[in-house]
Amino acid sequence: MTLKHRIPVEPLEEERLANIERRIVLGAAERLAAPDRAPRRLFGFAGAALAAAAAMVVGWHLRGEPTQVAALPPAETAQTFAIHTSSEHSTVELDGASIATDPASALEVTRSAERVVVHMTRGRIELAVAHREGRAIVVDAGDTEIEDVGTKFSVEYDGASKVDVRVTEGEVKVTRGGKHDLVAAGFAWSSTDGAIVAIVEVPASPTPAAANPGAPTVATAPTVTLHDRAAAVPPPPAAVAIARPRVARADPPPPAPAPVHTVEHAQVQADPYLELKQAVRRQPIELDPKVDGPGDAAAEVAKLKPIAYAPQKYGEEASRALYEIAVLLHKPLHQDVEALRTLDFYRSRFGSRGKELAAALWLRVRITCSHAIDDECREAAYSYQRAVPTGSAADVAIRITNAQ
Amino acid sequence: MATAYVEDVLLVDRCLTGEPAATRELFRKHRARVHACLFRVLGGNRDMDDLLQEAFLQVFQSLRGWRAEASLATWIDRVAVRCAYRYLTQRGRRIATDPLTDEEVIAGGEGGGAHRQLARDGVKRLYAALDELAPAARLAFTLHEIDGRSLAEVAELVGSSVTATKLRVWRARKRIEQVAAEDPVLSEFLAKEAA
Repeated sequence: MTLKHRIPVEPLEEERLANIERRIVLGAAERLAAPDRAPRRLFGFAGAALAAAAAMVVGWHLRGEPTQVAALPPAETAQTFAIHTSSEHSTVELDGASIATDPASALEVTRSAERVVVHMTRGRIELAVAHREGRAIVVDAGDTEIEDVGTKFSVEYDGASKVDVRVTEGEVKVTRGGKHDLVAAGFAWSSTDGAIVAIVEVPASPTPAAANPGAPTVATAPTVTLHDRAAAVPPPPAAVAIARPRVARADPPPPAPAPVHTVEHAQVQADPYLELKQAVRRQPIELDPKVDGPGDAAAEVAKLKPIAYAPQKYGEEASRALYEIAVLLHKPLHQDVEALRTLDFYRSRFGSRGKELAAALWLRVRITCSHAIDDECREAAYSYQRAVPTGSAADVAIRITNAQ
Repeated sequence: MATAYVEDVLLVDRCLTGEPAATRELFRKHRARVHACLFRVLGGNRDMDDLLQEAFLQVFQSLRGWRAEASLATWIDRVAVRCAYRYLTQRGRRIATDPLTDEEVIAGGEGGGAHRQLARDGVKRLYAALDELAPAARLAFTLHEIDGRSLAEVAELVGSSVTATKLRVWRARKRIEQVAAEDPVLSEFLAKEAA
């Protein structure tokens, strides 16, 4: 039995094809931006919807009545919005992130499929960012860059040189003058001294709203003082009190004003692995191709791809190109999922023959362990320490492997 | 081959930057083959437009995952086959097929009205028999016997071993022959094919 070429194919009319093509071009940008996790998509949507609903309810209670809430449509191409607030608070919702601005703040938001860049001119903003694979939020305040992939934090910028960053959930990376600092939940960073300090809560003083209950409600920032981190963090990680800093609410406070005199209790949500994560970050990336920003990195990746994925005859050149793609995806482009896939491909294609094997193994440690010291991270660290038993990176890998 | 390979890599890169012209180019380059493949697997189908669209949207969604280990065409075909498989499993085995028009049947051969009628009825009954097969068996059979792909190629497309694919094709063929034994129209249609 052979039916080949005997079943005629009904051709599609040009008009139908044109319609399909139009819909594909429209849908492709969206699909390209979406992670390729189709089977879990429904759960993801349901989770995101629940999280968004919960965040909205909590946000509503905590922030009082924002005078302006704008929800922006999803980005298909890079778009820029300017936000200037005079005397009012405002909240902008976009792509799963909520940006609440204080009065007298000025900022510009540029978003594309993979990044949202908030360029602050002055003022104070609070961000609640839902983690989304392959999408990063970067706040650019003067010469300081704060990068986040899923957390809650605030940035205050005086418009000249002073930048304060306070993290209430998750972790952010602060970059200034070529120096990177990871700031974990419960800690703050200030450009004044570049130090990371623990956030310690102090009873809030009465707000103008409390003095005059009939006045319009305005959300206020948490009242905090900064303490040296070494003094604030209890020595054994297991004994760290897990509690989030309270946000001062707009509800009328008790009639008697609470005196602001001493620190009553330090509420520190310390990451017991912070030092370890910083040690990972401090290790240099080997064979790091130097590029100027994400644009150059993307162009470099495009240039390297034909070499990296070319037939085996390219040998060493291909293995080097593949490793460099992984580095570029990780560092300037912040596409860690893609970087890990590239490293998987490197391992399957070149294995122990690849000259960059040790560097590739370390890159995997760096990527997996910068998010969490979990089983995946420990596995990567163990693979590295087996391949490279000595050296400073190996020491870090051994510490990770032994971390409980 | 190498030039086509590099062209594919570059085209994919352009698509990944979100360039609409590249999206169009990729679609135009592969649409006829993907459509033919879907058509031969599923038969004339009222959902064909949606299926073709969904197959390409899946392609774009997964495009970052193309590692250039297989040719772009093979990889796209694999995505399309998965799309067809999903359709078969979600919609049940019975598919609302459109009867072929005279013009389409003429493409299948020479002869007068009787021949055209036989071809039309034969195709209709063949796809009715295929509706009774399990989705995996139908895919293997149609890709090999109707789309004319080698067993190795079919195995790669459906993500199975060559042995398992061969077995599925053999079982599907047996089943079609059983149906044909009780259906003179289908039997005559298949006999003409064999002749």
